[in-house]
Amino acid sequence: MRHTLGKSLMGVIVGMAIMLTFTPTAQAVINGLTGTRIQINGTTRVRFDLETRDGYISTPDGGSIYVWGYAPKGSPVETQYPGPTLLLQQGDEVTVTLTNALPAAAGNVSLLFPGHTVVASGGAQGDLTQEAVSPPPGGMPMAVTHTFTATEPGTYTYYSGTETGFQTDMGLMGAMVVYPTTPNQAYSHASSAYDYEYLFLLSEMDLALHQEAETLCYGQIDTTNFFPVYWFINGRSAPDTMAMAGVPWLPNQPYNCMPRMVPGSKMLMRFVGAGRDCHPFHHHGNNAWAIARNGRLLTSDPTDPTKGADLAESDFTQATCPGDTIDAIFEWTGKGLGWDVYGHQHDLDNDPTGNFPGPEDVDHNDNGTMDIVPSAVGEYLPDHGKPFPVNLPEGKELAFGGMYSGSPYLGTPGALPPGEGGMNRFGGFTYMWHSHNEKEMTSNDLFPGGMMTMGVVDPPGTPIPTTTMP
Amino acid sequence: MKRKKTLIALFGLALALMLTAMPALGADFYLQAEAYTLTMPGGEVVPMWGFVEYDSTFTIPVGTATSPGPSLEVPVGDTDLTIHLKNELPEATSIVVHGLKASPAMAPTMFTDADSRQRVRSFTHETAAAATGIYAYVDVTPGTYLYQSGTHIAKQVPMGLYGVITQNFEIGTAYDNLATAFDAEALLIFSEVDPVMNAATDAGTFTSPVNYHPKYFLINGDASLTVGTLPKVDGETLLVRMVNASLKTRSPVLKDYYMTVHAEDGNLYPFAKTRYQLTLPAGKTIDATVAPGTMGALKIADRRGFVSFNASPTIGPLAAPCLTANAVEANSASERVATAGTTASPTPSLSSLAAAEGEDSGSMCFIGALSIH
Repeated sequence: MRHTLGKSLMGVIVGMAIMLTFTPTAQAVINGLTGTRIQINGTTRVRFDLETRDGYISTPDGGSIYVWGYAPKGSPVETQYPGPTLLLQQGDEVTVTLTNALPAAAGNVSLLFPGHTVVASGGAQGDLTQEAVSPPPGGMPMAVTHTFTATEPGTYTYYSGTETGFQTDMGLMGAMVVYPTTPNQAYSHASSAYDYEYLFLLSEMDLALHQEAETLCYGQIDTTNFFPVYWFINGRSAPDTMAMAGVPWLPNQPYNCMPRMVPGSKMLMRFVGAGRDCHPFHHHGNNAWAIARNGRLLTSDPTDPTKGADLAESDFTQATCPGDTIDAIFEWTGKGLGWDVYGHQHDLDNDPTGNFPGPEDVDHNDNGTMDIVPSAVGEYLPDHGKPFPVNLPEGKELAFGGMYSGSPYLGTPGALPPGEGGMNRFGGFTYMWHSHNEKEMTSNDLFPGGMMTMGVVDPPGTPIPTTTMP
Repeated sequence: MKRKKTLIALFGLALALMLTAMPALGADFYLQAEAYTLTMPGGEVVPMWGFVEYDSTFTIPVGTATSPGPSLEVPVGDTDLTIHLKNELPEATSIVVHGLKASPAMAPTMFTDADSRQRVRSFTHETAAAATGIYAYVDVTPGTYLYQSGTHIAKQVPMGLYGVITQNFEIGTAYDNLATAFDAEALLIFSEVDPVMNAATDAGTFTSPVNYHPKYFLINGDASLTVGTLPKVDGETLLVRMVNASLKTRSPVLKDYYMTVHAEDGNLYPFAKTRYQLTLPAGKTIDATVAPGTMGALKIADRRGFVSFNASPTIGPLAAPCLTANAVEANSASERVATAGTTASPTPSLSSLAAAEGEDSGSMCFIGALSIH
């Protein structure tokens, strides 16, 4: 729509810059900022400098929406939606400065870090906290300085405490992750151990507010008319959620959401309610154990560190409400399907008779010796060798999708007609993961879109990037 | 051994007889339902229905009618609660208390509609206009409860007919659990008002709540507040009772600290929860404590951001209407940054590129054109 000329050039430059700012988490599944880290007398001091800036985001329906965002100060990005994910280590002494580079009529902005005891100074006194004021014409911006200690590991959110309903809808919100000292754990207990982690920051937008702010019609803004028409995971609507992080054509939306795992591994999902509505996020394929909320383990006794997440809840929909965070661990083995997802029984020359893996059934390499096929890592053993429950039709009777690998078996891509498939090179299983409020799977009335992505179960051995700690 | 058991049993029987012989401990409250007007921030005068507390003869009022109505504290140990309701409204009304056992049991009031169907109008017996009714409850247990009209609730509740009932287990302890001990207690009631629907009810032209659209959002009855401020003395434990009397789910977030959440709808959790944020759907009550060691006043704000439409100086009717094209240019963030010479941006911003291409039409305004609300 607007601003199409010059955008691609701009996008390339900004995109490259974003890729650079990801270090040292270039391999990270949760991308974010690690700040400037300095060790002083055994304490790590971390500093982030954020600036509220306005700009535009792209939506998959072709929309270009005026937003506000917290952007890393000094970076060339126009703005960022959502704000940068702040990656911290437990015990970090954190300083976050905020300057306001929004249009003067936008008024003041601020930063809240719920769950943390924050000392804020500078700027102007607001209802909830100190607020960053727009600098006078020609004047220098004055920063608000926030200091706090990241005492406990967990998933947190930050957002504007000024006109919260309006300013969070405009984009002034983000996520913060505090890692414990033990790697590959979300909290200081083994019940929070994981192999892969992904962020699901859920938000929505009321387009009218953005158009009124874009045209400086602040007098017409009425947050009581809240009527969102766009929904996002980590700042993108489907299918952009599945594009790589930092792609140049989404310069102000650097984060993606492409959850991948292998059978038997643990995937930590960090949910953040960053909008004004509750979003029931549904992960197809299996239940997950919600182990923590608001950055605290679900435990029967917070004073006893041995308890762990003994009050974890098993759900297939995570009711993520504004300001809330939920940590849930998802595992998938194929349990309950009733057939061997690896197709271990599959021997074209010798169809199984149902008592596989007896040696009478399988001669995989056709050497005259019947094989006993070992199970795969993470396989659900009671289904080992159970045949696929239907006879597959011939290829000419099938319609193919881009994600079909050519066989129903995990990690066993099969023959496909020319031009078919191609988006599933490892032969993984894909599940649509989305808001269970299915209206939210649209982008301004276009389906599919909105708050949706695909969860992928890849075969064992598939290279999946993992997080590097800050 | 056997003898000892018998003695204990006899003693227990005697105690039980003594207890049944004692008069039931009961609390009586006298509420009058009446119409009044509330002047909202910005000066709009909105018709409301509320409650005012009276003496036992309904002659001396305690203050004036409010919404939420008076908070009723049932004394420690009382198991019976009786609310005497005098109805000064133009139509029948009633009282229901979510979570308390009515005695006699609630008997719905039916009416025959135009299609000869029997339909419920009131969850319990009604008190006709100008009459006085009694709403009694037994087996009252400690907790936080919402009372409201049980009649035409889609109309009468948005008019303001609700309030809070509390009871402590002991003085300074909310429930039968020492973890709920407190030094001071505070109440935070969220409510909301649709001035258009209220005006229609007042004029007798109400037909349906289907277009219910609240414009004023109140904390403890004050539509100008955007933040709930709770007094907190350093070193003392504060019990915070949060109640949602509005129809929208709220997400109160406590700034800077965690709460220990003990109970919901008057029911003690088996294990307390540690939260800075709560999800508070319509009709919900949640009790939490904030531990010693926190400093200064506590601030709680709805993360969903529901505040009165005119509560802000920078957006809404108090802000300037659409600015002119020149003002749009002057307010362009990139130009201000360039003028201030602070962050030397190596690339022009998209908005300045667009402006250079002549795409920007700053005077354009979306005056209701996209209003699909």
